[in-house]
Amino acid sequence: MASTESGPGAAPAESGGESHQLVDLTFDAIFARGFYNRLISYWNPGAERLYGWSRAEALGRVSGQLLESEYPIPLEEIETELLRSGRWEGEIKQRRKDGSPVVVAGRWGLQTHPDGSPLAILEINSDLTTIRGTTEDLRRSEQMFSLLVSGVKDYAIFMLDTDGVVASWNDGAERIKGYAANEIVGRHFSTFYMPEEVKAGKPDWELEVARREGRYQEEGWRVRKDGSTFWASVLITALYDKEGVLKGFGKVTRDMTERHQAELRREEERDLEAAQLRSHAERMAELERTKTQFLNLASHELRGPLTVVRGYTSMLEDGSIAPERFKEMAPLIESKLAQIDILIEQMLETSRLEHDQLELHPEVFDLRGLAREQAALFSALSARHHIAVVVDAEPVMVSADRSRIGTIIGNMLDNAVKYSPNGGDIECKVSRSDDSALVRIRDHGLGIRPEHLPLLFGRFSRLPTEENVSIQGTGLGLFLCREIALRHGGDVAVRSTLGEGSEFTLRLPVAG
Amino acid sequence: MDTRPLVMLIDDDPDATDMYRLGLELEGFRVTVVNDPERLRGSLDEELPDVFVLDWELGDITGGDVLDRLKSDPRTASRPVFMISNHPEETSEGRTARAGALAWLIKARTTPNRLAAQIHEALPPSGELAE
Repeated sequence: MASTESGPGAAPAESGGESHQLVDLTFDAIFARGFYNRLISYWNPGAERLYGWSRAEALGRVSGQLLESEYPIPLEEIETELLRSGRWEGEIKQRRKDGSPVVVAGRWGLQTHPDGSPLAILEINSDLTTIRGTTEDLRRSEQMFSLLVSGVKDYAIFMLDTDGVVASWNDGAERIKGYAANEIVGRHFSTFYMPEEVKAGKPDWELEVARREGRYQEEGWRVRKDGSTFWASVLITALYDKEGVLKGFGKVTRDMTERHQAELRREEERDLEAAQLRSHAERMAELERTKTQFLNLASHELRGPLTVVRGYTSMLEDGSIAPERFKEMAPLIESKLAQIDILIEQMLETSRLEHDQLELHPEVFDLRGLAREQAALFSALSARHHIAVVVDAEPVMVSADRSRIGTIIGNMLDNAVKYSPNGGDIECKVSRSDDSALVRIRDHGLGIRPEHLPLLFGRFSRLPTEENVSIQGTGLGLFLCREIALRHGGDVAVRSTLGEGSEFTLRLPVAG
Repeated sequence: MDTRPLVMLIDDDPDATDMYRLGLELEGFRVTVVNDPERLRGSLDEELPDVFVLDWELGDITGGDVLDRLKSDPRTASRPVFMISNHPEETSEGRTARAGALAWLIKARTTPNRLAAQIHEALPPSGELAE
């Protein structure tokens, strides 16, 4: 940069050539002034930018006056140093054209004549105000960022070195994971993983993915210092320097346990809803099957008595049987019609039960009288059976729906007759035991197979399927008996021995 | 010797067998009734019926079981068998047809007169009855 031309005018600006162009290009303020007269002979664009004086304004002015320069040491000492060593460096306070102060780092050099006598001083002044400001801002910004990171409570933000060893720690990390910085910095980050995941090499694999793809992200269970677990949202970012060398990893972890649990709860609720829907659908399907079975059953049971009635009437109609013989058949036909009527009534009663529309009409009456009435009815229907009624001497009063209790007793007597195909004695006993009124009907018929006992009181349990042909009737009879007894606060029970007979007992609460 | 065809009614409902017995006798058949299928074997030893009318619900067993027995007994294997039932399961009809039953009659629609007509059709002309 030094010029060998003589005179104050021989500054770089006037020397032309490449050096002048280069100096023009620098951002620093560069100017030359005479050693003795201090007149500015060169003024670059950097000086124009820094001081606000144009080249034209500056040339020929005395630099120290133009810039109101304040030197750290007297100017004479600077010049002495320049004469001695050819260079000087120091801070100078100056003033721009607009009056604003500026501090520059001056790096001055002495230009000399070939004989060594001083010619000019080249001042290269860098704006310290801007550089200082930038450095200050940068430092403040770094401090702020550091404060921000360390102060964040909701996220664990920390650094891992390239091997996965914890290198920094913030408040959030301490809060979420339970370790203080001095407890964890220097330890490998696999400490945060479930033992089985550590065993499977998951932590190292995650770093490998981050290294390869720049980042690794997942949600999963992590372990706190106290051994408890939390559901973490994890982001690992690989950190490279300007040269592309891996410097470590940034890890950001958030405790998502609550959200995860809420999700699990929602999932459970959804599962529960689905299960309820399935269960409902199954119930509906079961109901549909039951209805179909019931229709089959009802048709079968109604057709039984219908067969007999139609058989006789057809013979009366076509004249096979003389009309005067009708009287012989009338009671049988009547009993078959009554059977149809009972079946229909049972269906209606069941329907009322199903829809919870069974209204009881209670009255207080003597159970002995009702039992006698029913026994008389069934004695008349079957000549082959003898029904003996045995009753307590005292009245057995109940408060109940008389008509329906009559149906229950009738049903039990009907069963006794039906299951004693070879005739025999049937005993109907009415008694009182403590607070219970009892009607006990015992036959000496076929008895019931033990495996059929649990089915007796089930609704539609006696289906005429191939598997279950042996049990006859709609299956509604005993089901209704027990349901109606239960609604009176009583019950119906059965004891039976195959080949010896059965005993059905109706129990009702005593009135009063 | 009575040459009228002998019909065996196998049905555990005495009211139904009473009715059919009366009707079939009026139509010129002899009728024997088995209400308890366990007694079937003994009844067959007395006199072999020319035709069987077999109910489906028979207490502990089904008409299908009895049908199998009749078809596996050389004495009765070729005798016509009518299934008669109020059983609504039509699947049983196919089973009994495969097992050799001649027809599946719905009991409630089968008057004695109609049953007699069916039996007449199934029997060989009078006088050619196998004895």
